[in-house]
Amino acid sequence: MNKVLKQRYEDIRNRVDSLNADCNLIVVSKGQTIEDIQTLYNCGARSFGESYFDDWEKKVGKLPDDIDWHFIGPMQSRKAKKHKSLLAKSGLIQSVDRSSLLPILDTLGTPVSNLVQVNLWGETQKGGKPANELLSFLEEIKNFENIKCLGLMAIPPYSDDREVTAGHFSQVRELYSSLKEEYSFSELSIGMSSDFEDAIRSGATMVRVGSAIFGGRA
Amino acid sequence: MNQERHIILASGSPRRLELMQRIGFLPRVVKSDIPEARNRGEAPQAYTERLAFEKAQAVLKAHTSGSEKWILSADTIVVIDEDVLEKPIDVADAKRMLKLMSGRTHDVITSFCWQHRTNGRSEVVSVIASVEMIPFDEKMIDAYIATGESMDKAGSYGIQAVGATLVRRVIGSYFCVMGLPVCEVVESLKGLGGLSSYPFSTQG
Repeated sequence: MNKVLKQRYEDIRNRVDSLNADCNLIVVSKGQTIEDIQTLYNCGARSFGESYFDDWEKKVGKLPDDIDWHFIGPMQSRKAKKHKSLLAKSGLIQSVDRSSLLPILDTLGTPVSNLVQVNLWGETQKGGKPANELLSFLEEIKNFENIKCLGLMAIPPYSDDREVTAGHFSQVRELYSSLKEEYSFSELSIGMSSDFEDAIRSGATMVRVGSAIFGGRA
Repeated sequence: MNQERHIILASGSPRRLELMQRIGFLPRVVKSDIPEARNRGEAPQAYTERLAFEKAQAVLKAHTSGSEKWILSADTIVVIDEDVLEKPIDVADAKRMLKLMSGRTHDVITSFCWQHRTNGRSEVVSVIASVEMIPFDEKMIDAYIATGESMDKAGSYGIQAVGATLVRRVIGSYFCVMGLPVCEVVESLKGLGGLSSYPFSTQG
């Protein structure tokens, strides 16, 4: 198993590097075992993405301190408030999409970096700020001195048609480019297991890959 | 007869009833009629936790008869790409969900709630598992839906019967995927002081 895992990780890492060696590969480790995460760490992986506080909390103390933890799941303020010390360990909180989170993230006792999750496709069942609310939200974030917004994250609607997906990525990319200078953006997080290569071609600076490494769609 | 074996199960799911019976409990089923509707922007886990809690509260308020001390309720959803998949509303909806899950990994969240009927003690616990599915084509989806397994299940599949053949691997609790993570359910009740000795000695 370890050998397969290692091979899969190295394959994905190489595919990412061949398109853009600066692109950060975030290994989506939510739900995965400490042993498997440690195996990937030993292969050189440093950035891991988690979506559930309880699951994340169980892992943090048992894995190396220099792991760059990203929070990538839907975040409710009630849970965030309960897990402030855990959030303080996060290198990047990717899924910020509501005002109620800001006072919590501002008072973790340490400055925190975040991305704003955008939702440009009207999928109200998913998280993310719609385009028409994005600017005022970015302005609002400026009021919090301990929160530094580095860019945008998105989870476009799933499609097995590559062109449709690439179109979604371009939309986010255009929005990102239009704001990049004014807000000093440096990170665009789009693309997952099934479409990370298209995302990199569309300008992703980080991709979030889980099942292509741990199993599922290889 | 050990009185602790008797509980109220606030769930209409035959699988949850069977699981609790298998581990020695003698549940009495009392269904609640809590509307299953996610609030706008409500995170998936916050949603299942709220529903589990509300179901237990509804049964607590509605039923005063019976000598059972504890109420157990639960709620299960499937999450993929932040999209929450609940029970399908019709065949087309089931088809949509299965298509979305084909060849990919999704999360199953089951939250349960233990609620004491008189002393106010309660606990809500969530368990999450990741499920890898094999790729399946439209023909297979139609054939699977024709088995009738889809309609009353979150995510439109059931892991305990034909749906098992759609699943390559479960990472985490199998019983969470089935709808009730029995290990954590018992652990929680022990922690709440509701089990003085378990496994029950009268079992078998």
